[in-house]
Amino acid sequence: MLGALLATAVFWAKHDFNVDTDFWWHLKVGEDLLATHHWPTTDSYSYTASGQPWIAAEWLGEVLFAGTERIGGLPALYLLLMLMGASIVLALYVLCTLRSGNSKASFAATAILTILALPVFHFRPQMLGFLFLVLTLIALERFRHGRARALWFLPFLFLLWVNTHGSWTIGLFCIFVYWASGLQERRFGAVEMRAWTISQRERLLLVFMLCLAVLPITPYGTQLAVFPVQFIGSLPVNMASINEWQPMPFDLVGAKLFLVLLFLWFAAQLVYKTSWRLEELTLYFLGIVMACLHVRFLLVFVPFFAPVFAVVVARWIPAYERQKDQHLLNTLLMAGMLAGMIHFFPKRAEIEGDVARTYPTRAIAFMRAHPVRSPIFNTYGFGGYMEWSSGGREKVFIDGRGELFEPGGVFADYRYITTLRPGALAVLNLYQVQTCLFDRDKPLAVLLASLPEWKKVYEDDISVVLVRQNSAEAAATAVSQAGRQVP
Amino acid sequence: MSHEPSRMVVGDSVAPGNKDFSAPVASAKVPLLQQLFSFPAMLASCLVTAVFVARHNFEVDPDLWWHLKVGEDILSTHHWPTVDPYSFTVAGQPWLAYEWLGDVLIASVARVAGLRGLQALLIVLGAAIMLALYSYATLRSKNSKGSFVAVSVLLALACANFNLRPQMLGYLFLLLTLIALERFRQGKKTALWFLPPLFLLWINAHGSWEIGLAAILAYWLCGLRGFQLGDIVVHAWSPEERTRLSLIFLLCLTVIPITPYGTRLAAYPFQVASSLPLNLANIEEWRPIALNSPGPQLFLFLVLGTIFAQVAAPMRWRLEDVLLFVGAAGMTFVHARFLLLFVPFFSPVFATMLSRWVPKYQREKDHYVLNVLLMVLMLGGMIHYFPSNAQIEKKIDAGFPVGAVRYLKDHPVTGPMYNSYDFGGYLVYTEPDVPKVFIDGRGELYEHGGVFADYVHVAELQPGVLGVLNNYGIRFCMVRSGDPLTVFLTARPNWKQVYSDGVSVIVVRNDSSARRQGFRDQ
Repeated sequence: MLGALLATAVFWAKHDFNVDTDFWWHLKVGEDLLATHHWPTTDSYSYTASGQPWIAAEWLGEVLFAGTERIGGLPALYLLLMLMGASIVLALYVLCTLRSGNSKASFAATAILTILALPVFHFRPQMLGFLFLVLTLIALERFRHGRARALWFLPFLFLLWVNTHGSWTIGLFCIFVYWASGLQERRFGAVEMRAWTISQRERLLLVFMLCLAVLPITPYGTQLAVFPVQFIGSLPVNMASINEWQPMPFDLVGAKLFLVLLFLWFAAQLVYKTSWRLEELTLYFLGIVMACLHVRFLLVFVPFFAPVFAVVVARWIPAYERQKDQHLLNTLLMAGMLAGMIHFFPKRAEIEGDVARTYPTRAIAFMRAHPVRSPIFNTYGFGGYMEWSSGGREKVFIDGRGELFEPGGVFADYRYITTLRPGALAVLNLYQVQTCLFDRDKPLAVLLASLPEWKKVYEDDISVVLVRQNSAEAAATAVSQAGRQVP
Repeated sequence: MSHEPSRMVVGDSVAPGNKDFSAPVASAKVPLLQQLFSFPAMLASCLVTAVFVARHNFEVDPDLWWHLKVGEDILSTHHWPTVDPYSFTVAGQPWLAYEWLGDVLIASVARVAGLRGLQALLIVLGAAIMLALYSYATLRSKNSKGSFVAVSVLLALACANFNLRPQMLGYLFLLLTLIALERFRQGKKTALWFLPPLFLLWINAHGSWEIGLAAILAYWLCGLRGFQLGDIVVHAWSPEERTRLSLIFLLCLTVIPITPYGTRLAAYPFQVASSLPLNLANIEEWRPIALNSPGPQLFLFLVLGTIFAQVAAPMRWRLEDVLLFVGAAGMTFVHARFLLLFVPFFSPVFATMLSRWVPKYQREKDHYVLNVLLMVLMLGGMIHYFPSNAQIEKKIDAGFPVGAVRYLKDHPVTGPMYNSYDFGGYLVYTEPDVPKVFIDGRGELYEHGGVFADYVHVAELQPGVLGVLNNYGIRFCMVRSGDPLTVFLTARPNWKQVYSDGVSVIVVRNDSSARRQGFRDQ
């Protein structure tokens, strides 16, 4: 019942279809894969990096999205989002219970950590990576508890993982940490190293090698295995500009909760002096560092911290007693929650309304009805949606594939233009941009709207469309403006 | 392996095996000359030299200049301002020189010794802070070498805030308060009596006096009852100690209204704390700590390292240490400027932690001659490398709109000026060579007057930016080189860039050409 409650909480928290800007290009890539049965090796969606080498590194997740969308449209995608979110939270709950041996405390810990995780539950293949990471931790924890066969499904999981998301590197690192932390029997302070038996160590090593062995089994051969490490340290503009790569913003409520949990754990350690296994402590601290340096790694912090936190919470919450359970009441409550979710499941129009509140649906409809000249300069966050909604016909300036646009200098140019650096308009002219589709109220939109060579042809509360005028049109606009201003 | 038997309490002077020849009690019996040229003194000289190396380039905060101007005005008029005299946007609005004592100190030094005097003041204040930190850490850990290592690491964090503003005085006063409290904790009954006079200076120098008062309160509260909870130890005060501490606290409170502004200076930090959302959202030092640069990453490493060390090699903590460490670390995560607080609150914990691995100083093994030589060498180096006036002026040229001010002096432009926030202080200082400013570093003044919101509106180029400039009748803008506003304005023919260097740009309005060409002002 508590598990059902967690799933319901995910439903309530994510009941609007507020998806990440990258979702749309993932969906488009998946659709193209399904339609062509061909894995792309160059970019075909932009005019700025067209023909440049690019691989669909998360193709399996993209195909899942596109397959779901093909079956049931946006409502099916919404259902998939719910299922993925609920699976992750339930897997976390299992992990916590496995470690703490206290399902009630684990519920409390998971519920609190879900608040942290929810904002980074973006509908992207990384959610699958997150789920796979928690499943890996569950397998490792079960193995720690003496379940000899708990690890055998990991190579299969990694086969899916390497084709879905680059976070398999973190999973592999977890296996390594577990293996290394059991090489000796030692204790220092409250940290203990529990030695593996020889057969356990060999089994763990074998599984590690098998997981490594499946990595090249992708449509791109070893390229997908290389992909995540290829870009480490080589995308400074992405790191500096993209929100999820920024350090944790500690002025936000979620980040303050993160701090409270960190210091609460420290205070509990001072008071209770709990013993910890080296592997869980290593992962916990690694998770903190990663989340502090790049907010997107909250996704890594949560599963690393969850079991540790559940153990602390278990000191204050009594364990579940089966003999006191009220099965009928549980069934009623679970049925009530299920009924609530079915009842409140959004209609297609509601989901489309959610999309229209975030993405330039009306602006794109306008551009379809009143064709504008290409090339189009677009906001970074609109690129993916433009590709999907135009069926790939409208080539974009930029989209969320930062690793594609940075090496060729397009991302730097985009930043240069949108932050109005000196000569920004000259850079815009270099790309011979004829139309701009921006977030409303962005500085560049404000500037262009005030210049005679640009004309605002569409505006709503999300976006604005500006088109470049030829010199005769510009002169006419200037005269008209002058007539309006000079009495 | 358990560390239980040799566990040390943070700052516990009676921990077994903790005898340190550098401890104050022992050093009282040592001849003064030997103390002056001892190894710990040489280490202290190293810290001073490190401050010199880090801060001999006249790295100052933009706010220095308006503090300097306020100090100069007080010195010349013997009058404490009650309304704003420096801007045209909030001219005549109520404003207090709430850090007037620091302002007067800075202005006096500038009057006596010019820019080199200010550079010397920066080094002296920085060195005094580091020496106080070293003294405090040694007092707590009883290990001068361990303390030196701890303070050296923390120097990297502290130095970033050595920017020649009155807050440096507040920082020093906070350390002196902590030293007094610690000496009192270690049984020095008279250690606290200088706190009321210190608070008298503090209230007139910087708003951080409330943190000092909070520290006294924390010490008092954390000694009301003695107990041990896991690794947290609470030593109870004796009734006499408690009374004395209460009395000192009350005396410190009593001196708070003794200012040229009466009780208004005491109320100021509380008024400001909760009423400046725009400042908190936009001013760098009030933003959360940005963990993508090396200094903040060191802070993170220290916080996490301490937590990990507590698990791997536990030590006992005093309750007040836990509160101050957690409080300061939490505040630093949320507001980068509180790194200033983290350093002194963390230093005793860090020094005690390191003392477990760094061997203690042994006086009998000291090499006094070598110490003297090294100290003389360091002093000589500092004198030799002390920057000339020309070097300091070059540094100011590189950071502030010196060239633009010179241009305006030669080519006066009439009418109101819009300026970058971080140029405001310098422009206030150079008055009357430039018109009164749009804004400067006195954020609380401009936010309450609504000017800060307008400034953000313009700086972020929100829709209607030209309307905002028009409302103020702005005739020209002086902004930092590369500011998007320059691109925005110069793309229009009614604004013309008349001056530009690597630091600043001046853009002047010419309305007649705009009318002719029919540009759209939103």
